[in-house]
Amino acid sequence: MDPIIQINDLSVQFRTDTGITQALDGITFDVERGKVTAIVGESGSGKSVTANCVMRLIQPPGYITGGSIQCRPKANAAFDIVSLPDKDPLLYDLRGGTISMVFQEPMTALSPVLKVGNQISEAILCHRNVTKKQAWREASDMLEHVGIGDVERRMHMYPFEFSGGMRQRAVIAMALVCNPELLICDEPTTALDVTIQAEILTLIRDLQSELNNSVIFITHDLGVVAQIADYVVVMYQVRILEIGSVHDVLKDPLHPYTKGLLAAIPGTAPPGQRLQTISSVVDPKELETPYPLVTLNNGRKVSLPNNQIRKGT
Amino acid sequence: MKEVLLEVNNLHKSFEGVNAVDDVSFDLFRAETLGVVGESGSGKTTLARCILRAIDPDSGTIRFKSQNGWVDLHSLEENNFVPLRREMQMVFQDPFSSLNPRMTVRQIIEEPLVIHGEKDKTHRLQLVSQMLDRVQLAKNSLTRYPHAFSGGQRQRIGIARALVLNPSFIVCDESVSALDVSVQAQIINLLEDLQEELGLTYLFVAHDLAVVRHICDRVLVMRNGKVVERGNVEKVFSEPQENYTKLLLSAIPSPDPDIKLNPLDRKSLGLE
Amino acid sequence: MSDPVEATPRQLGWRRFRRHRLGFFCAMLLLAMYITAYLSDFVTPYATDTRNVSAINAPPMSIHFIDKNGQFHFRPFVYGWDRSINPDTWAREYRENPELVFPIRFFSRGEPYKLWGLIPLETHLFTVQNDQYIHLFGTDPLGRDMFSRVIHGARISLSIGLIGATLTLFFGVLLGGLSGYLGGWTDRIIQRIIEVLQSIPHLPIWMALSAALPVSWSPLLTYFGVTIILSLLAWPGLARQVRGRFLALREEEFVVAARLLGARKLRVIFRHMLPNFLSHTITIATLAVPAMILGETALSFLGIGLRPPVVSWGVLLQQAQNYQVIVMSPWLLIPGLFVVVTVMAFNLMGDGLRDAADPYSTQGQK
Repeated sequence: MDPIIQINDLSVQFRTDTGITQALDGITFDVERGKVTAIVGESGSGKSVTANCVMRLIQPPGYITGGSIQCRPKANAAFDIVSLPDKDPLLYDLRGGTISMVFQEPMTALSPVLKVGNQISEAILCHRNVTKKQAWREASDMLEHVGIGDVERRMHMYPFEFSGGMRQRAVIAMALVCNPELLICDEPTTALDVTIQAEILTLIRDLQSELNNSVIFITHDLGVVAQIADYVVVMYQVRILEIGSVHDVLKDPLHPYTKGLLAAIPGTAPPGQRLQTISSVVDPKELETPYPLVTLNNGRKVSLPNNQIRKGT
Repeated sequence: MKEVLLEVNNLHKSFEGVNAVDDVSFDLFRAETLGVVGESGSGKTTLARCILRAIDPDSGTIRFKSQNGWVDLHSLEENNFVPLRREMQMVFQDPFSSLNPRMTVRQIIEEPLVIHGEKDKTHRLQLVSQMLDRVQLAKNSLTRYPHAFSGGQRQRIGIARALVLNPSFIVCDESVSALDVSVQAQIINLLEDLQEELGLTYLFVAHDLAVVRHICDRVLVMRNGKVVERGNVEKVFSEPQENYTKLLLSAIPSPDPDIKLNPLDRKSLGLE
Repeated sequence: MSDPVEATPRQLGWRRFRRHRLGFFCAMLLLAMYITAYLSDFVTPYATDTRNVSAINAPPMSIHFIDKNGQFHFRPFVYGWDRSINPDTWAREYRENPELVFPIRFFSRGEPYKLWGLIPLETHLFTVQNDQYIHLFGTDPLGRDMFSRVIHGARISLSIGLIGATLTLFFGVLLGGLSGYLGGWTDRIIQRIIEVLQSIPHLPIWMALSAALPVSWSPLLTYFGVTIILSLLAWPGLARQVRGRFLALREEEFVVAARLLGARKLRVIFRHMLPNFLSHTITIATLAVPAMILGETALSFLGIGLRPPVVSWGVLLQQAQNYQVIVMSPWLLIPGLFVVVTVMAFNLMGDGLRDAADPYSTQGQK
């Protein structure tokens, strides 16, 4: 096991006029180097908050109230992202350099008033000491690499002249252009059509195996998880319920919630039958109790009381 | 022979030169669920809104078998349309913007009754309470405001509002697309139960093919304003004839990690 | 405190407003000012035209608790003036005379007056004995008490602001709403009118219209004339905002839903659209009040708005038009201070209202 990120007992709170909301509660998991780890959960599970924590993007009224995020870059010493002071130069290197992020809405990740070529070059110039010409050339190369044709012309275009899928490719290019060790994708295909989603998923998968970087992929879609991830972390209401390899968790789910989630997908039930809902598969009261994560023989983790874990696992 | 409820012929609607709905024709049979699938820009939402005359089509005919016989929807004056609205309703996509945030749940659900002249307050309350039961919402929901409810619960309120006048025809415009998977399952089950209970006919607009396959009997596949393929849902999904349908189906990621995602290539299908 | 999930939108808005401390404080301050203004006959010791010849152009008096012997008195008092003429400048000079002690009496009888023109009363909030005098803000060249005149003047200045803002709100919502909802030619014509009105510089137009008001008009008619002139240039801004909100609301799904349920235009406007932008609009109208107050003050100051014997802050400032005044009797500028405080209070309250107006703005939507 060679983790690039180790999250340990991470907790986040949001303090507003109406009270304190727990956004994350004691989250612990590792992100394996060179692999794709998916974080899957429904709305309110805390998956996006987790990603934002790794990039130290949590701002008041949100506060990280406990835990650590160990980052282990290949070349340098390991450090705890949570304990870095706000203006630490290590953070500036981290964001866009060691770790890059791709967001859900490509239109808001790209500035509408700058040409695409300039934006991608800027990402390079922020982190490396190269000439503008050099940066432009590298940006063009990356744009071509992510599958955008007619690159010379496209570099001079504005984001609104790109289609949704193309914009997301451009954002991926911008994220990869500094060769980050970790790429975080926060629901990058949720806003895209299904055929475009398939293309972007294939792209991310191909790029990952080519560049051998690590990926954290956040989604609510178990189909996407099955296709792109090696490991999966199942979150529900600010806690982790299950961790394991994609094969284990999706083909042989341990937690009733995971089973329920799989059963609720239309298509898994034979046509004509009612869809199973979570409440028909798992007792809501059981779900509310935060059992600690228990590590099983093969490395899988699940949050269940001991008496519910199958014998022999 | 199944009874036809809606006949659409050669419907056209364009916005600033772009054909949103391009020569669309189909029949809708009573008590069936007809799916309309497509990606963004396919025209499926425009089609749905044209049928209910939320937008006016440019040309073509829409004929509806109302309780009083066949009516030409496409040419009907707004004033004459109002009584017909009792028979056809829409359930919207966004649970957060489809309910007036300043009205209580009771006011929202009884509004159709008020608009159509039901003056007896107690009778209205009775119908509203019945509807609440049908969509499985608690009685104390009546005095609360939409912001107190979750997405799934708000969709139930929207469904209650659509059904309180006992329409025969419901257009579901991406009604489950904005919901979490577990909540989506509940709402799909609800819609199916209600269909069986009340004999409803659904026009189900969606982009999620798996949902359409589960809930629909027949399906229309739309692309760039045109219907490219149609038929019984199982047949279309297992034996697609058109290249675009094949492309769509190949793009769906399966939750089974052993079934690898192998999307067909657009260019090779001639679909640039 | 009740569960925020259960609160009505109005309660949510009120709660948010109260949390904006500065805005809430200003709202209370303004409320106090308006109440004081409407009870001005009671609050002030003198009427607007009562003259005190022994204190002409006298400076403000200080309130004392300890007399010249060092003795503490519970009842505060002021000292009378000793008047003398400076041999070099020939100007009147005033010095406090510790022998002349005027105790302040509260809730006691003073000049008779009619509260709101109806109820004959003699009790004032504070006053001094008949042959004594008290001038907390000094006196003007005619010996009239500035404190009384400022408070009485508040009535006019503050009410013009309110009435003007109400007129602005009415016309703004009506014309902006028609424009936004009907669209087409109605929209185009109203928009052109708005554009013309907004491109005219305010002060010259106000001056021209004011000058056109017949001098023979009674003070009351002039008052209404000025109010209408002020709102004439304020409604276009509001109408534009209302139109914008209408256009946005028209596309909201719950409005489309209402139409699909069979609701007619009027019902859609009043039941669905109006409640959803009214609080936002009222906030904007609230911010129009200070503009009205400043407008009236400016016009009256220039002599083309309200005129004596009507008393408003602007009319009072007419006497402060030359620098001689500012040097010799700076207390005549106190009405200006009141204008500043009022305008700032309205602006700060408006900020608080703006935050509170949309209770759903920052709450997470999933």
